[in-house]
Amino acid sequence: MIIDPKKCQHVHISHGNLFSGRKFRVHKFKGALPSVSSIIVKFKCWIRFLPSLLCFLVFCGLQNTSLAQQHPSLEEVTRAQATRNPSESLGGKSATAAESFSSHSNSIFQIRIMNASSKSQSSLGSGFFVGDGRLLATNYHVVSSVVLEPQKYVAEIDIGEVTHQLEVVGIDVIHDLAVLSVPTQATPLNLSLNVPNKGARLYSIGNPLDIGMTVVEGNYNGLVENRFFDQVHFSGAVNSGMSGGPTLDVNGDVVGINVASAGNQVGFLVPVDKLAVLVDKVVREDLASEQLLSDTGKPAADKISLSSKQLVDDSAEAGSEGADSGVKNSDDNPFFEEISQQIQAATHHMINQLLDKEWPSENLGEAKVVGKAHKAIDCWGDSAENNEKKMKIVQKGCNSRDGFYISRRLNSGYIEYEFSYSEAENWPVSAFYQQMTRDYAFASPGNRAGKKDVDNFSCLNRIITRDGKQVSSSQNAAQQSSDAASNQAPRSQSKFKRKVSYCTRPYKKLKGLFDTFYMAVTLEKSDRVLMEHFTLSGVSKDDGERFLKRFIDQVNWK
Amino acid sequence: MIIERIDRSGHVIDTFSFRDHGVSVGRGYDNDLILSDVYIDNKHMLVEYDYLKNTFVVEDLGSLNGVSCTEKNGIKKLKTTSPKEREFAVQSGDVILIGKTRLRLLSKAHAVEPARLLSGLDGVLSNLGTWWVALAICLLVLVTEALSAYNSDPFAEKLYKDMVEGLYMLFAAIAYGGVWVLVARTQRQDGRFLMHFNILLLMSVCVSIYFLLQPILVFNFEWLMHRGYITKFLLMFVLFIAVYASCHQSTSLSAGRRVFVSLLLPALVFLGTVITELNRPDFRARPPYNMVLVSPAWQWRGSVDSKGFLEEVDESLYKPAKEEQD
Repeated sequence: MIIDPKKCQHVHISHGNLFSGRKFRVHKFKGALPSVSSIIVKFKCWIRFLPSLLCFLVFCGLQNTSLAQQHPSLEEVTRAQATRNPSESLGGKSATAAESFSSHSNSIFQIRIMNASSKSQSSLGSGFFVGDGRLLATNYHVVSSVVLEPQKYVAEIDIGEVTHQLEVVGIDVIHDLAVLSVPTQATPLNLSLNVPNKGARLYSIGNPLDIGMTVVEGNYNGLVENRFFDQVHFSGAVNSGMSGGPTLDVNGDVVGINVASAGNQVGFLVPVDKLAVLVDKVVREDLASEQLLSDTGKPAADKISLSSKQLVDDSAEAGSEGADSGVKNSDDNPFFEEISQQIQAATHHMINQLLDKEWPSENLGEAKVVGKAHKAIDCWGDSAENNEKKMKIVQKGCNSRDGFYISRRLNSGYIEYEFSYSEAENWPVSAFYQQMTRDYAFASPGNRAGKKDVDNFSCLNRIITRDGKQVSSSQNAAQQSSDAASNQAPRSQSKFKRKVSYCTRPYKKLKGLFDTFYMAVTLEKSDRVLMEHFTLSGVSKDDGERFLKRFIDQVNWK
Repeated sequence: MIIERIDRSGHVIDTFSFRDHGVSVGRGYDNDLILSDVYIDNKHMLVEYDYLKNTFVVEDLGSLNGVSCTEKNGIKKLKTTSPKEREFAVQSGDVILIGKTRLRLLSKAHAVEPARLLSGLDGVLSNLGTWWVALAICLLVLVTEALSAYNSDPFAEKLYKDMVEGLYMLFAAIAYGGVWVLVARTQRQDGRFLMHFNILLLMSVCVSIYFLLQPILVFNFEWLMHRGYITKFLLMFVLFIAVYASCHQSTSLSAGRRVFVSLLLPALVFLGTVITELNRPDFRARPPYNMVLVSPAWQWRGSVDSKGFLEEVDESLYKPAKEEQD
């Protein structure tokens, strides 16, 4: 009797345990085949063991099954390892990435933005079904042209052979999200309730460069540090065209929405909780509209708009101060008012964050200027010394990094401020100020805006004088008491004189929003000047004035 | 009799005085009055003065192009086109046309315009056309250009490279002087090249000095210097003065006509300004702020404190956008 070692390898060992080490003998037959009776006679001593043997075999089979499950054969192990370790065997994707894609590809689609006149696509992106399966989530910037010019552009997706046109039902320009309604239903993706651990594997899905739906494996690296508004750092190759696509965890739940890339495997995602808020808002608005229709028999005249502050970080200051646009939208497009309110709320939050703190004072040449006013502000500096021209320039600039994308022509919600110290040696005073005029006469605001978006700037130019050496009230009191104690005459303060230009321009369609531009240059020194400048974009009048009031008295000579 | 050769506008080119009562006119050298117009025959016409009637009798001697007559007021015309109409009578002061030449016939008793008073400008202009004035003005040009170049870049290795504008001014003045000399020649006036040269160079120096002082004006009188209208006005004024002075010296135009001619170049500048304003773009991304700076010694403008500035910002800025008209 031959026991197949492949089937009973481990069992063989247990047999060794069960039968105290007695081994089976393998018999090989030589010559003619023997008769059955002779075979029976030969092996009659073994026949007594036949029932036991049969039981044993049954037992062996049962064990084989359970152990095989725990300890598969070498072939099975090899096959399993090949699928689990792509770098070692297949050189490609892991089984989980493939599974992730295959499991959820029915929920993720390419979005095409079509120009209504030319019937051609003008831009592409990705999106995925959420909520009840009739809503599609994507980035705002993917569908911005549809939001702003609905007569000119249409969003559509292909499900199978059928093309469906989509309607934008909710937007969040601050976090670059949009929700569209689809006239059909598909399987929605689940939005994850948990924050992944740093280093957790994620799968970003989208259609990069229109080459087909792609899954990119990467890692979760937490929220990007030092930002006013949350973004997830995803270490994976997110490319153009994948915008709006989902990034899934190993359970297939959405943890982020692809939004941007800095190249070199540095990608950015919108945290899924922002999408959850937006979807919730859309659903509630829809329910409210239906309720109104059922109560009155009339459709809602305007969409009931929830507070835009819900879309801003939780640390945003509650209340209506500075967030009320206060002006009716003169355009038929209801999204303009929505966008205006969102930007106003966001910049109100940013300005509050900046004004809530004491601004650090830093040296810049012979002057004292504002340093990094908030952790979310990014600051850089540079200096140049021209020995031939005998001129030294020291510069420092800070900004809030990127603004909010509204359209190809317009971005808003950007804050920057900068300082420049210039010192000349042996220059005639008139020549020095003429050079400074050339250096500072042609500045531009930090954000881009087109003719259809904003009006022209209006400016106010004045000479402002204040006493030099601005000190805090406690320091001033200490100084005065010190002077009194030593019977010294109070020290006279020099005048700090500047030429100040302040300009504002209103937004045309986003009512209540302004861009502001401030520049000031000192005037009282004969061989050195300090230039200060800031730009605020997408702020209300109140926020702009509050920031100006704080900024205008910050600088001084050392 | 007096025969004046005049141009179309009635200005006298030549004046001929004859004692005889009859004067032959033609291109031939045996005529009393020889004219070089190729459209005039050798023996073209005969002019006789009738003392009793105080008229001139003009006889066409069979010329090819005939003789035309225009009365003083320029309305009536006569022409000797047929043999029967070869003779006609004209009054003193009438103009006859032979070929392309106009001749005014005058009796010696014909009244002349009274003399014009020499203006003070004549004396000034006369003194302006001297070599030492030219040298002084050239020196002024050099100084203003050097100042401008030095202010632009005090440490430039080759300052003269920034003084090229002075050369342009020099050549422009030479061309200007030459043009007016030509005009004077046609008007039978003195050319006076140096005077015209000095006038334009002096005006250029005035403009250069203005541009040197312009930052001070813009800093202290911002409301006045808005959009550069003062600068354009100054340019027009300077051109007017230069052309009027040159016109006064080189032509015998009346005051009104001199003013008209002098306004032509300023009108071009004005037209350029109007076209610039009409073509000004509706939208400018850059804010139109004024950051012209001057040294502390030239800062006369009043100042405000921060609080006052903030109040003014609140009142005057942050206006809503103008409603778009579809």
